[in-house]
Amino acid sequence: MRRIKFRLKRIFLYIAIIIIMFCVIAPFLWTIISSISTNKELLSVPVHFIPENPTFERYKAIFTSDDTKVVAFKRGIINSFIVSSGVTIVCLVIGTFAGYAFARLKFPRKNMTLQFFLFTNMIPPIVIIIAIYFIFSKLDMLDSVISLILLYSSFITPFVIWMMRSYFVTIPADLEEAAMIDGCNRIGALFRIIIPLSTPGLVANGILAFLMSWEEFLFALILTTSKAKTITVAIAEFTGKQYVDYGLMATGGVIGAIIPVLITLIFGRYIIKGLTSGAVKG
Amino acid sequence: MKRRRINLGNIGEKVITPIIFLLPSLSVYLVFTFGTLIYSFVLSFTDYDGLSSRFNFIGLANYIKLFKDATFYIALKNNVIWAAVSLIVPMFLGLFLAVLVDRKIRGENIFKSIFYLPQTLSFVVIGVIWSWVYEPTKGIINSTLSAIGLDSLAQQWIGDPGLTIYSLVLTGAWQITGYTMVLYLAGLRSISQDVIEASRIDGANNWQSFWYVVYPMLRNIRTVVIATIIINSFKIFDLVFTMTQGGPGEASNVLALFMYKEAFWKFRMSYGTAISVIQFLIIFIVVAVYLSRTIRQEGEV
Repeated sequence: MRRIKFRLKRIFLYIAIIIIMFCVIAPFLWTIISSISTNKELLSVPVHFIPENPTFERYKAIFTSDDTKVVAFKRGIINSFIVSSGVTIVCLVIGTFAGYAFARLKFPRKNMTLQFFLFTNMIPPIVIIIAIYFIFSKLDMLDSVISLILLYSSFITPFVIWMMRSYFVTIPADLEEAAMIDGCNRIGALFRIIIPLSTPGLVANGILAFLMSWEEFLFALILTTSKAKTITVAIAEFTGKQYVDYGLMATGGVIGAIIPVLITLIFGRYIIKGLTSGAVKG
Repeated sequence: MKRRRINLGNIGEKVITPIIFLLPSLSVYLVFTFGTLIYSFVLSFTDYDGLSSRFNFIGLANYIKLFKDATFYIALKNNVIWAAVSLIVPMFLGLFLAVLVDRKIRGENIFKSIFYLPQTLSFVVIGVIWSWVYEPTKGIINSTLSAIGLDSLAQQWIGDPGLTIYSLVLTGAWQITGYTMVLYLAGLRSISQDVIEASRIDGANNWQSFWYVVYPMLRNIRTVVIATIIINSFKIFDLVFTMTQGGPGEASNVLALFMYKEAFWKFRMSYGTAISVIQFLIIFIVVAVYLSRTIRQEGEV
């Protein structure tokens, strides 16, 4: 009897999870379906939930057409790759050193400095956008991939510092001390002992930094005009109000979602593990 | 001789190493975040328009104008609605999901990743996807409603001025729930099983041990979740920009979008900075309250 009750509870649990999961996934599915439906089907009443003649014409069009918007879209994908990879590298290097300093070194005003980082992490970037625009236009730094890398890094590093600090704190200090007694200096111990042990943390933070810069929109919208446009700006323009072709709009959405979705499905476990361990210590 | 060397080593360890480790981050920081923040304050007292390179100081004129601007109050109200709804829906749904996936179930990692999925998408892509979901005749919501004979419930989800902001918040909730789930999951994992078992031995049922033991112990995490949600609600921009651009009329305008339109469409840069200063002050108060609470809690431990 108890066993049956337990079974029933489990079944309800799975049903609840599957219903919520459907709500999460439905908008994605709908977009994918729309992107491969023919225009005739998209406009037919009642709506077809399963396309009768799936077509990949729109995807082909996006990768072969010479239309200026399509070209900008492709350019945007490349730019976003450059910017996000750059930001990931900068954040991991700076974040590792600073996170280590906060986890291990003793120095005056350590807590105050850490709180300063935490505080600035909470300043919404939107507050300083006009000042940034003003300064960048004076320094002739508008519409440049390098400017975006610098800027994004400055917003994402505090987050990485905080997460790496939480990660380093969990590694026993004895290991390093042993290495230092054996003749390693601090930098040597960091590279030989701490970093190899923190690979999962570095991977999680790297992915998060990559995704955060991949999805940034406001700064890219304001600071780029043509050659440094990122994918988010390209999608926004590509799918702007003037476009009435819903199929093409959905296709843009699918292409924009592919990379984050793949990264999440492959590395989701690490990201969530990294986030939870950081949050507990925080 | 030997002693002196040790002293020097200590100085190096205490002063020079931290400087070397922190210099890159601190310098990037001071220039970008702190410098520009102060500069924003300065600009808000000028008549800078973004076109001419000269500007004059005009005192509080921008702020006076702002407090008389009807759009400002619409935008502020929408941000408050955003925060209020987000403090109900994703807060509790996130907790619910965390409790669900925290039970040892099969495929736990897959479920977690899928629930977290919307969080990793950019708002622009989410905006595209959801504009299509809300589309009045072809969108999935209205077509499903008409397919099951409930045409009367079909709405102009983002075309109706009274409804738009709520439709947008719902989309925002869809995005942020995965994140609140992860935070709560962290909290649940940090609670030792012994405490829960002790309550069971004392005769508490599932629900009681959750409500009287687990829920109060999630207090710290709850503070983080609340602060994150409020801060996010006051900086929302991308979603509104891609889905409605503040329309119809000003019905779904929010502070960030209001600032953007004033500064970059109407070339009233200094007026825009005044808006962002107000936005900063709101978030600053939330953060200050949050930080003082966490510091006090750390002091207790």
